[in-house]
Amino acid sequence: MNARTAENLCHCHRQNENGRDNPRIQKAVRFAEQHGELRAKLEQQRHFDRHIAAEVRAITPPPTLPAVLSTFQPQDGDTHGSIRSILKQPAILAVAIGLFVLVGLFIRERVRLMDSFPGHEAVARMIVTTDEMSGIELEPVNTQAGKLGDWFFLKYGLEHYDPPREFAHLETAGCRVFKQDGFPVAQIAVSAGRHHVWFYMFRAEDFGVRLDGEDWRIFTEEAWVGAVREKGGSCVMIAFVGNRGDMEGFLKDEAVTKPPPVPATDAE
Amino acid sequence: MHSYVPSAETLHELYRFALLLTAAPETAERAVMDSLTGAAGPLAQLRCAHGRNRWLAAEVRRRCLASETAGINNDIATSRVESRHDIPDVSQQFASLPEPQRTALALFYVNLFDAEEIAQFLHLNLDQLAALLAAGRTELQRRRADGSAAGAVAPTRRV
Repeated sequence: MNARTAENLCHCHRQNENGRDNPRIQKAVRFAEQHGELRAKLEQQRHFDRHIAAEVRAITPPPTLPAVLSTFQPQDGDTHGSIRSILKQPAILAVAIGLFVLVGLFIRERVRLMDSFPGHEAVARMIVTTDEMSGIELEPVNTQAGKLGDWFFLKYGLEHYDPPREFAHLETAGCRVFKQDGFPVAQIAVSAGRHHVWFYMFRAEDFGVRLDGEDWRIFTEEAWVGAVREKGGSCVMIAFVGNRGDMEGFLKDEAVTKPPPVPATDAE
Repeated sequence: MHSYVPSAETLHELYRFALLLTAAPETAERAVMDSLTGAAGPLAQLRCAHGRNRWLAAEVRRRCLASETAGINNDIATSRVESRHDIPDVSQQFASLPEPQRTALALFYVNLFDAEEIAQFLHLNLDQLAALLAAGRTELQRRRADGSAAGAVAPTRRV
């Protein structure tokens, strides 16, 4: 800052600003106070300003003036208009949208955590693998699902890869064994009612699956719904395109879970 | 949400501002009251005190300068100087200054805005305001030194 700039800016200085002065003005005043000639001019200005300010403060408003405040009324509907105008402010809208997104993400995360269990990610990948299948991967096997346990053992050496007993009666369309992370997964395609259903059998420890109890644990994976159960170290997963409600209905559907009565034969 | 009502202190400062611009107490009072009439709506749209005071000050100034243009102040000033001696000398000295020095100095001495806000009010930067205040003070000092009661009788500036 030079003397000329300081002298100019000092004209904006008011002595009673109590530190509210603009930083440039404060700097100019500090400069002037250390400069002999400018300091004298600044003191003259302060002296003049004090007199003028005192005369201005001494101006007494007419007694009728404050009465106008009692007639100062908000317009009708002012509050509603104010709220509406506040909500239209871009900053408020941005905050509201941000909050909405955060709440949505929080809810989505909570739902994801509800579905989560140890090994969930590996199990979900099995469904993704199925979604990517063209259909030729399966060996056409038309039998009842309950008889495939022996088939998996004889052909692939897989022990205890049995579908759940309540679904053993369902007719299969095809099956295969594929490897995920180097571990075998047995897969069976069946038709059950209106659903095209997939069964997966695998060992729980191969994929780190740990479930509490022996009840079905239902989860969703994009357009698919899956249900996993573990028993004695062996896991079974059921999956089809649908939602959580569809799976709950499927698991309770007696037409699916209850095998049809064996017809009596003449020989007996 | 509470609607804004100006404080009594703000009202007093606005009156002082108006009187410094006009040197006519009735004109100043009318300018302030007319500015408040119908101000509730616009003031409710402004969210900070500075914005509201700025709006009110701009309205008061507009009305004061408009009455000056209409020649009202001339009549009042001419008739009142002889018949009423209750018009403060300082307001007569201010009212004879040219615009925008008059507004700049008047805002400087009433307690409504700081220097930066005065510069914004007049659409100036700080350096330009400083030059304006310097010129205004010099002129004001000259009129006071000349015993400027005569300055209030002289024709006021037509904007």
